Amino acid sequence: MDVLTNLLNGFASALTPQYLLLAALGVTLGTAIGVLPGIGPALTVALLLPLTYKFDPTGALIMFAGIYYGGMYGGSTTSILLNTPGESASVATTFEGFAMAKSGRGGAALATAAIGSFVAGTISTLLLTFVAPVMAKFALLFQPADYFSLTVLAFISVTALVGKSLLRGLTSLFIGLFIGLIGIDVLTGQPRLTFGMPELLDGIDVVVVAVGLFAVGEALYVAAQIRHTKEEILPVKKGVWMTREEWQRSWPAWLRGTLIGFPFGALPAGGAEIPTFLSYTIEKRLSKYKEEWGKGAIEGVAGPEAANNAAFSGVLVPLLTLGLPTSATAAILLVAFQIYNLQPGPLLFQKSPELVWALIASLYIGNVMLLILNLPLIRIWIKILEIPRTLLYAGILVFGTLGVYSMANSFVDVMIMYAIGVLGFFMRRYGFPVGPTILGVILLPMAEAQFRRALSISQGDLSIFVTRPLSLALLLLAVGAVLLPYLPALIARIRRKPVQSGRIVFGDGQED
Amino acid sequence: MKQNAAQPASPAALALFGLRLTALVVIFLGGVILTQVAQIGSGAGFIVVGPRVFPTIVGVGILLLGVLFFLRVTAKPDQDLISEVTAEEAATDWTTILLTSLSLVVYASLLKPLGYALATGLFFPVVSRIFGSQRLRRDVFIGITLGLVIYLSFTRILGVRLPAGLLAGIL
Amino acid sequence: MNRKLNVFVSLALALAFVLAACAPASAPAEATYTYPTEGINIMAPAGAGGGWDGTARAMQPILASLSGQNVQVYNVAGAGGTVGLAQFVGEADGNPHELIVGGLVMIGAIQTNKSPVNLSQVTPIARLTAEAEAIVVPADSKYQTLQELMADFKADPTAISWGGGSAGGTDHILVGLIAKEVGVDPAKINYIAHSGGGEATAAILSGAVTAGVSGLSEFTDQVEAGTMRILAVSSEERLPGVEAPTIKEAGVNVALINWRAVFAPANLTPEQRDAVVALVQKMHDSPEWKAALEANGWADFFLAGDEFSTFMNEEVTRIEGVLRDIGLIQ
Repeated sequence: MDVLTNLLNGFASALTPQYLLLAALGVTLGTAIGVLPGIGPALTVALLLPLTYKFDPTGALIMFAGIYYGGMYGGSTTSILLNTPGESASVATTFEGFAMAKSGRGGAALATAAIGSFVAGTISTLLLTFVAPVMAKFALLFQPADYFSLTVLAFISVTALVGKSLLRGLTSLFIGLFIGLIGIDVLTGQPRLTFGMPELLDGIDVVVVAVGLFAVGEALYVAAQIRHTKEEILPVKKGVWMTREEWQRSWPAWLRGTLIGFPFGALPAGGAEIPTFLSYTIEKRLSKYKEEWGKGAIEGVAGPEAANNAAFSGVLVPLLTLGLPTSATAAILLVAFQIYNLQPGPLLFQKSPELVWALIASLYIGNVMLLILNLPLIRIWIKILEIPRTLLYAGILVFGTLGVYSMANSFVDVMIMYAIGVLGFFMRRYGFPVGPTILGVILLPMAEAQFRRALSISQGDLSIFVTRPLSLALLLLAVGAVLLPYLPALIARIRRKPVQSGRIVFGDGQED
Repeated sequence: MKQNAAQPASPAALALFGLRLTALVVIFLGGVILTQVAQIGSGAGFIVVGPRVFPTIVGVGILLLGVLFFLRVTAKPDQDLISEVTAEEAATDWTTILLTSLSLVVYASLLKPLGYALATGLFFPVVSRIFGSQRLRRDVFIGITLGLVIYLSFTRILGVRLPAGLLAGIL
Repeated sequence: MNRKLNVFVSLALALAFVLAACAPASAPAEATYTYPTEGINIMAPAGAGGGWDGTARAMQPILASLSGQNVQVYNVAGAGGTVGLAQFVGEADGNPHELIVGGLVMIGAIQTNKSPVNLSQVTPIARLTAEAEAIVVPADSKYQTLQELMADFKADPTAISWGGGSAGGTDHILVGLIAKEVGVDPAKINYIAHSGGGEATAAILSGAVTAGVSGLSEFTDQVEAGTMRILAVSSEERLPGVEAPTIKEAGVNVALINWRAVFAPANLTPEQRDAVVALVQKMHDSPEWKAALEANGWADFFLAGDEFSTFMNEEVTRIEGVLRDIGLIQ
């Protein structure tokens, strides 16, 4: 079979000593950085971006995938032991994970997270292997109108589903849209909102935005309260392993989490946070041990962690085949592709099959490596948590600056990054989610350009968005996404049960 | 952001003040965007949707959201948000934020003249100190090591350009 | 204690010696100008991986082995090369050891971005490579020849959408030249700009745009795979290995070549300029450069010194004229 031959070629390439070494380096660094409190995979990748400049594209992307996966594994450790999720996709893990750690079962929580991530990562990579090539062929049919409807779906999903306050979520999104508009207009070549600064002509790089919002913003936010807070690291008393009963309770949750995570990741719905919360809710509903919830039910860790990892493979589908990043991390991976002049999209599988398949093969390999890194070696990672936070955040500022400065040795870039960092601080401070901002920056250029292209091609005929079947289907999905959060309330009303809340809220919007 | 020392403001008052100011800043941003839109050229050739359309939508959107937010912190206050921000206000140390921001700016402007390694060696202990670290000698040591290791590994091994600054010729 | 001091003093002396050795040797009263006397920096005013970056990186090892000096390439991406050009003009003035790669695209970008600097503020050294443009349609398009496409273009210009690279770039300029030649109102050119040839290729394959315009190399894979058809190429003469007429042969009197070149800073002495030209000439004549051209699929389009300056001035005048005609410069 075509796919299998390609995959085997990918393995042949990924298993060469050089690439194995890069994968190992990636997962190790990713775990080390990801385990730091407040640092999620997106930031991990952004901070480590300059490390890969020297490598060939395949090597660099293999290292990246490793960093990303490592960041996710590391993030679950922090969520469980420290109750500080590095990204919103780990928030669901903290509920039961931290409770388990408090009752002395941190070892089992870490084990189910690691093994669950491995199971989900492997199964979802398998799904990616077979779905992506089909999707890539299908993606060739996408015209501007279809792309635009796709971004509408993404925008709707993000704003309707994320955050406690729609008003603040929308404001964040619009600030992101504003940042995304800065620079030369692709369609007409006109400079827009550049305030006369030539440095802004090419727009603000998504790495600058991500490092500013996430690293500097978070560091300032923590620094502001650093003298008033104490964090305790819960010790892992017993070994990192599970009892027979815990295994039996974990595996169905892993499988369900995987099945929820992958399709949600693949849909342009903003990455991993929705499936993790969905998995959490479903596990809670299905659980036979309802009395344990809130006190450390292992399914509540197993499900969301599996969903989290599965979602990443899902996110790679639109990224690789359509060039559409649906999360902050995916956007930074996209930057990594572009550094090497590779354009993810329908043609990537045709133009660079070696690279794509080596990358996919390395995902399988990275998962195995991470299982080894995270079960026997977990104690080493916990040591990282003991670094004093004063030094930790000083270090984050140094690495954030390095990440941006090393791109072009530009003082202006660094200052823009700091300004966005201050913005990120105030957003955190006044309860604005930062996730929608970054998605605005990422998605707006695509949405706007495709909207205008579609209308130029149709010579001004707006019906193009509903007469093309693909575009229409995507728009209908978007309508569905608007209604989805109200679904539980609706069902409750139909069942004549008291309504708990008007609308489900997923996460706190602190995406990645 | 700080009010006069003469009238010691409670965290609640400060929080409300901050929130209102935030709303005004958002409104102001909307206004700035709309004035900038006027300066965008119109492009050439056959254009259905011009380059000004989306910036206008975004500018108006931000303006409206700012107004709505202002109403939510004045006329029809969002109590959850206000109590949340009040709790944070009580814990917030504005001097730390100011000093950190200041040292970041100084750090960025020293990267070229001093060189990456020296600037980092200087910045790290200063910021650690601002964050409350008491062990100056350890921090200086870590800072200088960090600066040197990053500089050497990036320029020698990874092939990334970083300024040598004062240490040019030595490193 | 004393021993420690001794060690310190000898270390300091050694350091001073090294520093002195490192300092650029002053060369007073030399009869002939020697070049290069120190490492050469080449700026690629675009991101890694593009044509300018590729050109700079192809030059790097050859210049290094010819001159025996360290040669470094660095990227300053942005706005069609104008961000890099501005930095180059500002920082490299009068220094023959600083070079910048650039080309046709810069001319348009300088105008459309209202760049504060332009190509008169650098010293032209040599034109190096060139690539022809191609006009393509998807394999299932009804258009078999450029003449058929032109007939419809003249009849209803806005119904023909052209997919290509950035606004004001080479692809756009070619469409503008064609429209001018066949008498189509520039305000009716329905040009759909993309961030690059790769993105444009996807749009062409999806059948969204009527025709595609970009550098020939962007399309060769698709043409070989049979998913696209070349209607014409923009060179003066037919290209080897390409089964398509030139635009001129198809009856539209237009030719355009996307050239890339190398420049030095302004305010060089004539000796300095000649020395740089001579070094680049040597590079061009080397077998390594031939190999690099072949590996990258670039056509040799070498023209050095004064002749290149003349050529460039003509191109600037011509391109600015087209941009004004199609309305990109007011």
